[in-house]
Amino acid sequence: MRDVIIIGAGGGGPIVAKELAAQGLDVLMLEAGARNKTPETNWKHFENDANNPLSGYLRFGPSDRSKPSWYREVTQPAMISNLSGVGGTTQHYFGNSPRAMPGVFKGYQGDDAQDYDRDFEFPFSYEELTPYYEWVEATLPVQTAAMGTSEQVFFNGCENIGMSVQVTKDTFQDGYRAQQNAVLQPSGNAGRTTNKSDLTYPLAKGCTFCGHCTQGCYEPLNAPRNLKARRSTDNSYVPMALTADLWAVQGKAVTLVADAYVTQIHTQQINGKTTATGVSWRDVNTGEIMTENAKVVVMAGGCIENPRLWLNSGLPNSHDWVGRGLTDHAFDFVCGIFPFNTDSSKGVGSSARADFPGKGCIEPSSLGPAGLASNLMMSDSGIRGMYDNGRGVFGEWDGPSGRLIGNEFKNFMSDVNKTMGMLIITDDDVEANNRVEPSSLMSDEHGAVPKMTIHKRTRSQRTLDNREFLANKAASILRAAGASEVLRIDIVPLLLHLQSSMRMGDDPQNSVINANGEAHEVAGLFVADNSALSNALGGPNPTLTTQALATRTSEKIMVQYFSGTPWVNSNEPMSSIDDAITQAVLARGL
Amino acid sequence: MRKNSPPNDSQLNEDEAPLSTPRRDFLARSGLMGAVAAISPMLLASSKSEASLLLSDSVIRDVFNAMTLDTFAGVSAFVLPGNDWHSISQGHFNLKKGAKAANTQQFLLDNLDNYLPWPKDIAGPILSEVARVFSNAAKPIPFGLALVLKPLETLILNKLDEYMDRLIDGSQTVPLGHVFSLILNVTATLVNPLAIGGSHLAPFSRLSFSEKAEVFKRLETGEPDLSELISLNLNEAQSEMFPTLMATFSRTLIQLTAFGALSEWHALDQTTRELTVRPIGWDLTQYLPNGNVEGWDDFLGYYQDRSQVDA
Repeated sequence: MRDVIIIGAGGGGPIVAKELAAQGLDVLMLEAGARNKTPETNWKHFENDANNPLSGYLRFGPSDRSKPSWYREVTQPAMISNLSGVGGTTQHYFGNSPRAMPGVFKGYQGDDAQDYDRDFEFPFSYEELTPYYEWVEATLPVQTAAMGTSEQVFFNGCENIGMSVQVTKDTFQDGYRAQQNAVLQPSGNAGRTTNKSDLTYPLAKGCTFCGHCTQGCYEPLNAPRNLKARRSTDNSYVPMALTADLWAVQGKAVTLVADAYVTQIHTQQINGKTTATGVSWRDVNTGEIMTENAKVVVMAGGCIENPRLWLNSGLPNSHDWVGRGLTDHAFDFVCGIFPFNTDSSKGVGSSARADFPGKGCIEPSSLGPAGLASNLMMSDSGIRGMYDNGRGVFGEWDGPSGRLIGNEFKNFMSDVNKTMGMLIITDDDVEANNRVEPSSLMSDEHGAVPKMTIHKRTRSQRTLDNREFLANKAASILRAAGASEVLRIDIVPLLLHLQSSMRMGDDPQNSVINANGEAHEVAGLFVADNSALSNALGGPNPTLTTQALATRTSEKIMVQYFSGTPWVNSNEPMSSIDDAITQAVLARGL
Repeated sequence: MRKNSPPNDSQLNEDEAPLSTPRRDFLARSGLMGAVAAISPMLLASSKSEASLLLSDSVIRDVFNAMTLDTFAGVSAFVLPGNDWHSISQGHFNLKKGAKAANTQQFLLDNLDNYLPWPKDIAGPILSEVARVFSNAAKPIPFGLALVLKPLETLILNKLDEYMDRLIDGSQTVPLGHVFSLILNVTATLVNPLAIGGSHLAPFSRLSFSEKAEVFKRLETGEPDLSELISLNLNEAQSEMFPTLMATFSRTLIQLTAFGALSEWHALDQTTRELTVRPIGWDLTQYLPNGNVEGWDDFLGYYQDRSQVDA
């Protein structure tokens, strides 16, 4: 019997794994997708090879790439962009690590308090989470992003429309700034040359500005796994978890099993309460079913898989809130074309941002041509000039919103380094009818597939207004930065930032887990990924907050079930790039 | 079990049994007869008994593949036109290479057939409904273009129909590329009935640029009343899902075309995963002018020299 079983090795699970392994617990972490042990040989800087949503090595599907990806039912057109595999969706994230807006937490007293979704706030204060932010920021580590050409263009635009620069991690007013990124910043030759031989570790350290965040980070070449530039969990927390016995006093290494799709959470009635006792999983390659028991089970399979697993397992759902309240940041994409170089295919995916408390965020995003083309095609407004699908919105951009096609598309793409895409990250409301539930129509070898409903056009008025505000603001920044043409795509739901489908709250009637991260209705069952978030955070990218919350939940587990004591306020965090970790990683051959 | 010997009279009679008019119209509109002629021109000059033998499952599959590839070539020219015949014939082209030159049609076929996890339980019923509704809703095929079915052509249509049946009843894995191209081609003949005949194999590829946009509009928006018509013979869950599936299909096809055309796919050796030539999409977008790199010399320092911030 294990102390803890963690379901999912994505953005949240490895945080709990590392924290509890460092405390000496016996932890088993299960991951449905692949474990990429040797990214330098298995991964490439090719967009289709990596990012094809059907067949790429970074997809939501089994590790065997000859097999189809895993199906998810959607009730309206949407683009699903989260990943399976050790590291989860952090394998292709940009490392953007802003803190949440303080206004989404309980007890917020700012003048703009009513600008937020007050019905679904976090059940504790921002100040209570702050030490956990600091702990994670030191562990990853999170650093202020360096500037390249595209960031300079973005900053020029923000300056020209009179925005204020933000010089703090906490966000209380509109402002623009360099991202706080979970990316090791360049040193040595990194960022200063294109010569491959000069870009190997230790000649180059940190980000080499290769421009391939979305294909998975394995730069600089020859660097130990924990010193790869981008701090996806496969490069940061997972190596720490797998070596906890080597660097933590009384630490115990985590057991990690990949290709293990959990299909059942087992419970028993103990002391009159439904209590989690273990899990069963299916070996994705052999079909073999395995079962293990544990004192505590932690769900960290993501906003889509957690509700599916919960409901397929027949766990209680008295208030019908499991899977409900899904937020997706109601993304949009605004893109400009410039008469000068923006070098937008170079550098980190995003190293700059603008925040608008109560409304959301904007960030420039660097992509290769296939990725950019894909974004330009995701419109809900039909084809510009041909049909508008009942939308075709006008604003600060040129002409109606919509996708480009034919020669207009080809001309727009004629120099990818003279474009700049802006991601609109909306502060969207928690709404009960946005949800994940098991499909009544389809199942696969892992049970009924998840069915997702995200209403794009009929979101709350606040959500819709925020999205319009941000799209117009992004177009203004692009114009002020010198764009000669600005287009709004008006994309269909892009299921990339997903939050709150197993939301944390005080009231069991509109939440699944309590303020400790434990299920209201199942003892010993915790949730520790984006789905645990109470809301959409006000718009900031969710990973850092998920990781801070998962750290807090780890303490709660340790105190409540293993007679431990909290450590975040009393100990110094060990950085994942500390030499002790590097030596442990090398010793273990990771 | 069917023996590999000349068919007897009863089999010939079975093969010659006339198809229902809607199904015949559907197959005629699909462009499949043209594909048969292109794949096996000798078929049309064969005797009925020879033809029956020649029309093996693999030939039928080749026919579907040829028609699907030509349909996807038409889609490729629509999304990213170039100087190829599919682009020129749609009246919207340019002097540079386009998606077709990057073999995007094969990219689409491979991905849709092998990797798209469409629900098996629903693809067959929906395909059946699409065939029925499109045929019933269509204006009659213009007299001059109507298929005058000779016995041999009836045999060919029946063979195609048998294959369709296997797709619909789920006894054969549904190659989704075939499903997608059938839907596109039949919709194409609704947009322009004259597309049933012409220079390309696939009716969709015979459309003008604006007519192709009209096809995607109808699929994306469910016009005219497509989802209502389709729902008739589907159960409630299937019928709820249908408009989303069609809209998703439409958008996915366009998005995947753009993605594949500008990616390295056509230039990558799938075994070594190394480039064999410079990708066309990289040239079109001036991406990585000197090939892949491990890093760029684009570090300009820190904005306002601020390399760290406080809480």
